[in-house]
Amino acid sequence: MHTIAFKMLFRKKGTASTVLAIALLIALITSVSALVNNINSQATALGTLARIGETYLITDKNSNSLLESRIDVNIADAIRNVSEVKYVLPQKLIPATLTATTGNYPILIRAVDEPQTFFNMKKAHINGIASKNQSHANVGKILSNLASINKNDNITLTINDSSTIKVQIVGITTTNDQSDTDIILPIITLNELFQKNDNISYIELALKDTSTSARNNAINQITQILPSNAQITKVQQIDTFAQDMNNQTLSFLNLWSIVIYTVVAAASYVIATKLITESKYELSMLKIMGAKRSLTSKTILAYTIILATAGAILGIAIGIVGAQVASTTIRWMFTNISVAPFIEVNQIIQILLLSFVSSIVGCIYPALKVVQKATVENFL
Amino acid sequence: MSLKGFRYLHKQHIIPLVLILTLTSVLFSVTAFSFLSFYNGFASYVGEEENVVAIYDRRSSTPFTGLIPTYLTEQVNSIDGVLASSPETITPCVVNNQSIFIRGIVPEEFVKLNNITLIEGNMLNLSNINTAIIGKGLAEKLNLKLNDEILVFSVLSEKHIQLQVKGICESNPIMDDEALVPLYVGQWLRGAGYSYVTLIRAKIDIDQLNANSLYAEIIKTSQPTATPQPTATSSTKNQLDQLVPYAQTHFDVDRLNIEQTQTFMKNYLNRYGVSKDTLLSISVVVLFFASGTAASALTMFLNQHKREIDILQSIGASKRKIKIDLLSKVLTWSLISSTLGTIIAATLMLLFEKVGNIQVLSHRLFFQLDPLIVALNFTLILSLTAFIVARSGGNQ
Repeated sequence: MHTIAFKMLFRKKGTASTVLAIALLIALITSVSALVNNINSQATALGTLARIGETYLITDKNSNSLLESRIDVNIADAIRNVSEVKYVLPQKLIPATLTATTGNYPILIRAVDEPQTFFNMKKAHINGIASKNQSHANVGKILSNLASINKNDNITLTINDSSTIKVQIVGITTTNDQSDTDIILPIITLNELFQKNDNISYIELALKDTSTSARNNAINQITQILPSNAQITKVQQIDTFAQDMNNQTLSFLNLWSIVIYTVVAAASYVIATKLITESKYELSMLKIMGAKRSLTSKTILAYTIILATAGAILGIAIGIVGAQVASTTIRWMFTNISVAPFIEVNQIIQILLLSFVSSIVGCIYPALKVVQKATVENFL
Repeated sequence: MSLKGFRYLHKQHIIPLVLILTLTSVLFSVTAFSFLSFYNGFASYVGEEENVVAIYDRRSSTPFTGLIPTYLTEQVNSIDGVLASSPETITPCVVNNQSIFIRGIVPEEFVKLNNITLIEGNMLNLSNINTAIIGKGLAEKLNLKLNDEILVFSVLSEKHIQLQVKGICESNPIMDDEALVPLYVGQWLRGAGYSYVTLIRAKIDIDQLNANSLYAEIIKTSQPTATPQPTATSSTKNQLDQLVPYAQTHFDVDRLNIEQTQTFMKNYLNRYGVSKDTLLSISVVVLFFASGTAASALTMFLNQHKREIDILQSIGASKRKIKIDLLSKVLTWSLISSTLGTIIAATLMLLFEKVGNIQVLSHRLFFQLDPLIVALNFTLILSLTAFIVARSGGNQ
């Protein structure tokens, strides 16, 4: 009976046009997804093409701020033993008030292991020398401009509104980073002030310019050294940025796809209703031949789902071919634009599944309605 | 024979037709509204005022990656007809694993070009080291409050910076999704030194100057034999000179370009084949792809009334009269569908804006009701309906 029913319905005029209607909608999603894939892969590829530095920070996992971050200074010594490490710069950041001849300024003190090494690694320009003992400090160029501090000036640093340090500025430094607004001094100066303290804010480290596998190996070794409360983060975050950009594009595509799948559901509703309207005679014949009520609704459901799935498969094909044709045309017209759309297997499966679900949602109501009214009189 | 008194079309068949035409209209409108919101938002990224021009590096492939000398700010400021000039560095960064854009500015000059309203905290000034003010959109996105500390990682250089949120502000929708920092902080993050900025925006007196004459003036003052201009004593010059150690670097003036700010952004989009016309054309293609469903629905609707149409013909109504009557009725519902479609699309866009948080390049899309899209929507849906009914109506 099922075979007869399907033969009757599929031979009807208009089947091809309904498949095409759904195919065009699915082609839209497929081609747009293929283009978005291309845009996302280009964004990711840009990240790999750009020269990404190999500088990392080791910070406290439980803190979003370097000022709150606390890690053990001994980690730095352990990391220095990793052969691929170029330099390790343990740093302590402390908010303080700077008192100079021109007034008081809220600043950050950057206490480092060895100021000379710090400035060398930062390729800093020093007007003067790097501080070497507890009574010396360096001032960043912008802070020196702001507070009118000159070489050999004496300044007072007040920490936590209570402890004060008096130091002499032995050099004005330009590093082109945040230390240009800091007071940089040896970490031993603070250790004396706060007694013996093994905590630092963070460790900045860089890897040697070697092979990717050697660098990955070094990162694995460092990760194993780290205690559970510490984390390692790459400084130049191209990957994270590209990933976030891709997610933004995908979330827009997902919202847009909801509208398309709603139209697919509506198209399935049209297919089912059209079938019922135009196949009154065939459905009545089936009834007369002894078909049960449920067979009619199952046939309508199956017919719609088969058409929707066929439409989805055709749509994916049209979408892929259409996107390729469009991109080739664009490449011919604008030689500077490189578009190479592609679609992944999991996306194809997702599109097929969602089309399937949308078509069931669309045709379920007319199919059930037929069961309720399925008498021969209704059809005739 | 008039068909005015005949109610031969059934309500239960009209509703699905209206629903499907409405959905088709929604699809077109949502596509076109989102594309145009993106385009308009991006085009007004650095401002939309007629008297604001952008001075930038014409060889850069994006508006964020160009570099021009900082010293040009002083040069631009000294030209008669320039009312204000704002050097800016725009840098992509990552904060709390989320992508953001940070703009390094000279606050005192920047506010002459953009209105900034502080919601909380204090306004930024160039001497505020280690601080930032953030747009309210960004504050919501990153869940940041006043005085919070943020750790910023750069994308274009190996730099990280610890900043404190000094204020939360409200400006234009684009700026609301960015963080504003002193110029030198932006320069650290950009990684190109103090002597370069991404662009300089200048407010000009349009009665005295335009983009071309400003360009000519800059070229003239860049010539080695040019008579030195009177030194500007503007606040920008004083602040920049006092704090930022920039140098007079060599720069090929042929790389400079000056355009009205919207044209500047539109030109970048055009380089990648994105224009308002292209985006509208894509939206029309989307409607064309969805028209198969609408056509099926209309054909089904006419088939559902075959019997009634036959009866009308048998009692003397001509095919032409039936066709005209059908056309007028179906067009009325198409009009209703298009109106509903526009309203639903607008509501969806507002919903996406609030709940969905749609972003392109880390800036939220803001829905703009473009009359052109509304008109196109009505025209296309009505044309589609008219075409199908005229082709098959009355011939059932």
